[in-house]
Amino acid sequence: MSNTKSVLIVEDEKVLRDVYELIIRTLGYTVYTASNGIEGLKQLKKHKPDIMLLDIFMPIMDGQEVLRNLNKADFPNIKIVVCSNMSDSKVTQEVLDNGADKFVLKSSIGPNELKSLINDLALKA
Amino acid sequence: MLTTDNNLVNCQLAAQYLGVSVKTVRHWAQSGTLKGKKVGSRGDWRFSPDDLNKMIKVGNDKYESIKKFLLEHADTIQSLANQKHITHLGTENAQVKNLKKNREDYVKIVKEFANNLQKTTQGEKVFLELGTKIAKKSVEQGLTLEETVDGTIFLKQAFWEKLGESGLLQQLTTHDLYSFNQIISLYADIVTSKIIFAYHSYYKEQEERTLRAEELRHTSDNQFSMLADNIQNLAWMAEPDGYIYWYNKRWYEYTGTKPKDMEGWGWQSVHNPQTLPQVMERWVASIKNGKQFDMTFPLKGADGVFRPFLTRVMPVKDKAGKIIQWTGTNTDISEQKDAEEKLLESQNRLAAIFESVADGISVFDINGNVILVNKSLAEISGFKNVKDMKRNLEYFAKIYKLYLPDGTLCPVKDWPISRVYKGETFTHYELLAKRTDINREWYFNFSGTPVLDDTGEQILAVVVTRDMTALKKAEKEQEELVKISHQRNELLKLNKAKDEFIGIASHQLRTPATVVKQYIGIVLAGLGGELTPGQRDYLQTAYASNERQLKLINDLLKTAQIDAETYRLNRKSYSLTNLLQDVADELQTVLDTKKQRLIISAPDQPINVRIDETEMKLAFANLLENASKYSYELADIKVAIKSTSKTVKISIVDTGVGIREEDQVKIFDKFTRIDNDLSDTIMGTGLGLYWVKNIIGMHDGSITVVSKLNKGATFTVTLPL
Repeated sequence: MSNTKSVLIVEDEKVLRDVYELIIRTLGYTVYTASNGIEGLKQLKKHKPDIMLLDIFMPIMDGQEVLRNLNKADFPNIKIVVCSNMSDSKVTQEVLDNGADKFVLKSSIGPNELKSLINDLALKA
Repeated sequence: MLTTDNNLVNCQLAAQYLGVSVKTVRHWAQSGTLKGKKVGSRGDWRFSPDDLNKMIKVGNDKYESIKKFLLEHADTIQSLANQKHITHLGTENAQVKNLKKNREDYVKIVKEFANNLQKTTQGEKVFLELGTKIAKKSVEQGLTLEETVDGTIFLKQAFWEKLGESGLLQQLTTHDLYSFNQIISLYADIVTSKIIFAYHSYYKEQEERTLRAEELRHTSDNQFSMLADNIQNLAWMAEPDGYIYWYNKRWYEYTGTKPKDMEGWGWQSVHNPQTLPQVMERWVASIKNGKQFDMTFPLKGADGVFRPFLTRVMPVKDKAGKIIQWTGTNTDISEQKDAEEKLLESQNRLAAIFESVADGISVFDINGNVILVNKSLAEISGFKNVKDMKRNLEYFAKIYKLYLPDGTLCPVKDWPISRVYKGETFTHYELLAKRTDINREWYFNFSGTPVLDDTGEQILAVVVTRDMTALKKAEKEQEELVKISHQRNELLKLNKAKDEFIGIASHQLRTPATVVKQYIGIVLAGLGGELTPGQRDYLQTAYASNERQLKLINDLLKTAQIDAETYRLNRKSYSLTNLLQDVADELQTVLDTKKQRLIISAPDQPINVRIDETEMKLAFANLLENASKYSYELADIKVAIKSTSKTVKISIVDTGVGIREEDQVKIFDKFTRIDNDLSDTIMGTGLGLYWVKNIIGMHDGSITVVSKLNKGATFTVTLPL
C-alpha cells in the first residue's frame, strides 16, 4: 500500500515512537520522527508533513510550546493530533485552543485505534 | 463817773466828760453857762460833777429835737446817701448793686448818732462795734474797702444836708453846733476807721491764710506729686463734678498725651469707644451717689495698644461729709490679665487633654480615695460615668481581680496604685483585669507616679491606664493569622506536590502500560508474524488485563484529582442529545457483543447545557457501560431526556440484575463493589460511580438511583439548565 501523505511523529518515548512509526508505515505513509519539540519544529519546516502526531510531556520543548511557536499560516493544511497521557481537561482544552485538531488519550489508543485515527485525519488533510 | 480828790473836776476832765474842748469848758465857765470855781495858783476852773451833769442834761435837752428828727429820718438820710453814692459811681457801674447791701447798717448808723449825742463814751463803743460789723459784713458780701468807706462818707454828707434842711441846726448855739459836729465827726471817724482797720486786718489775715495755705499746699502738693508721679499707676484728681484737673506724670507717659488734651473730659480720647459708654455710666453714677467704684477697662497707650486697667475712683470728703474732690488710679493689669488668661488657657488645655486623652487617668489621695478620674477611664473600665468611679481602693479591690501576664493573681499590695503608694514610678505594668461584678475583662497597661509636696511628702497618687484589650486581641488574631497562613502555605505546598505527583503519576504510570498495549496490539494485529490460536488467546488475556490496568490507573487518578479538588471543569454550552448520541456510538461495540439495544428518547429541540464535554461524556459512558454490563444479553437499555424550565433529567433504565435497597446508598462510595449474579464476570474498580457522582456534583447536578433486585435499575441524572 502506498500513500502520498506524510506523518510527523513527535514523541520522546522511543519504544512508543518506534511502534507508532511501525504501525503508520504499514498504512503506507511517509513517516518522520522527532524526540522533542525543537527537533519537531525543525522537521516540520523541513518536511511540511500532512499530519503531526504530537506528545505533550517532553524534554527541551513540550508539545504545548510547539503549538504556540508554530505559525499555522506556514502550514495551512496540516492536521495535528495531540496524543498524551496528560488527561486533565484543562490541558486538553488548551491544546485545542492552541490549534490542535484533536486530542486523544494515549493509553486509550491501541494499534487499531491509531490506524483509524491517522486514516481519518489523512482524509481531511 | 469822774472823781477828784476833793470831788472837783479840772477843765481837761470836764471837757472830756462833756465831750467838748477845754477851751469851750473855760468859755462856758467864764460865761456862767457852767458853774465852776477858780482854784489853785494859776486860778484855773474846777467843776463839781453835779454841775457838769447839769450841763449834760441841758445838752441833752439841746439836741432833743435833733435826736427826734434823726430817728424819724434815718431811712431818708440813708436813701439820700445811697443816691449820692450812685451819682458818684454812675448808674452804669456794676458796683451799684452792692450799695443796697449795707442799707440797714447805714440806717443804724444814723439812729445810733441820734441815740448817743449826749453819751460819747457809750457812743464810741457802739460805733467801734458797728464799724467792725459793717466791715465784716462788707467783706462777706464782697464789697471793696472803697465801696464801704465811700458809703460812710456819702452817709455823712446826706446826714448834714438833711439836718441843715430841717432848720434844727440854726436853733443851736455856735458852741452847741460845734459840739454836735465834734460828736458826729468822732462817731463817723470811729466807724470809718474801724472799717478800714477791719478790712486791713481781714485782708492781712486772709492773705496770710492764703499764703500759709499756698505754702502748705505747695509742700503737700510737691510731696503728693512726687509720690503720684513716681508710682507705676496712672493717677488723677477731679472736681466734685467730675472735671479732671490733674493727672500724674505716668498718665501722660502711658497715654502719650499733653495736659491740654486731657483737661476736663479729654480723657475719653484714650478710651475704647466700645467700653466708654459703660465707663461713663459708672462714673456719672458715682458722681451722683458719691460712692467709690472699681472697674476694669482698656486704655490706649502711646503705642496705640489698648491694655486693661483696673481703675479705682474714690471720693475725698471734708469733715461735713461733702465731696471736695475725686481721686482715681488706673493699674495696668495686662500682664496680670495675660498671666490669668494663660493660666486659664493652660488649665483649660490641661482639662481638655485630661478629658480627651484616650488613656484613663485616675488620681488618688493618700487614703486610697479616688479624687479625680477622666471619662476615658470610665469608658475603658466599664463604668457608666466618672461619678461612679469616685470610690476608694477598698471598693475596687472588691470588684476587680488583677492577674499577672503569667496568669497568677496579682495581690492588692502589688496593684499599680499600691506600687505608687510605695513611692514607685513605673510604666508598662501589664495586667489582666477582671471585673467580677459585670464579668468583663481587659488587658491593661498601667503607669503610675506619686505626686509630692514641697517637703517631699506624698500627697497624691496618679495611675494612668491604657486599654490593651483590642491590641492584645489583634496580636492574638495576628498570631492566629500567621499560623493559619503558615498552615495554608504548607497546604499549598502539599497541594502543589500532590498536583505534581498526580500529573507525573498519570503520565509515568500510563506510559509503560500504553507501551505494553501497543506492542501486544501489533502482535495481535499480525505485525510480528502468524500466531497460533493458543498464543492469540494468551495475548488477548494480557491485552484485556492491560486495558483494565489502564482503566484502573485512569480511575485512580481521576479520584485523586477530585479528592484534591484540583479537578477543573471546562464548561461550554453543549447539546445533551448529541453528547449522549456520541457516547452511544462509542459504546456500540460493547453493546453489540451482548446484542443489546440502546434506545434514546429526547425532545426534538436540542437541549443545551453548560457542561465539560469530555468529563460528561465519560460520566455518561460509565453509566451506560454499567447498564450494559449489569444487564443480560438482548436487553434493552433506555435513555430518556426530559426537560423543565430549570432542569433537565436524563434517566438511564436497564432491566438488569438490580441493586439491593441496602446497597443503593453505598454504590456512590469509593471502592464499593456489590455482589450480584454478574459481578464475578465484570471487571470493576469500585471507583466509577464515586467519580460520576462527583463530576455531576461539580456541574451543580445530582444523581439518584431507583432499583429492585433482579428488576433492573434506573439512574436519574438532573442537571441545571
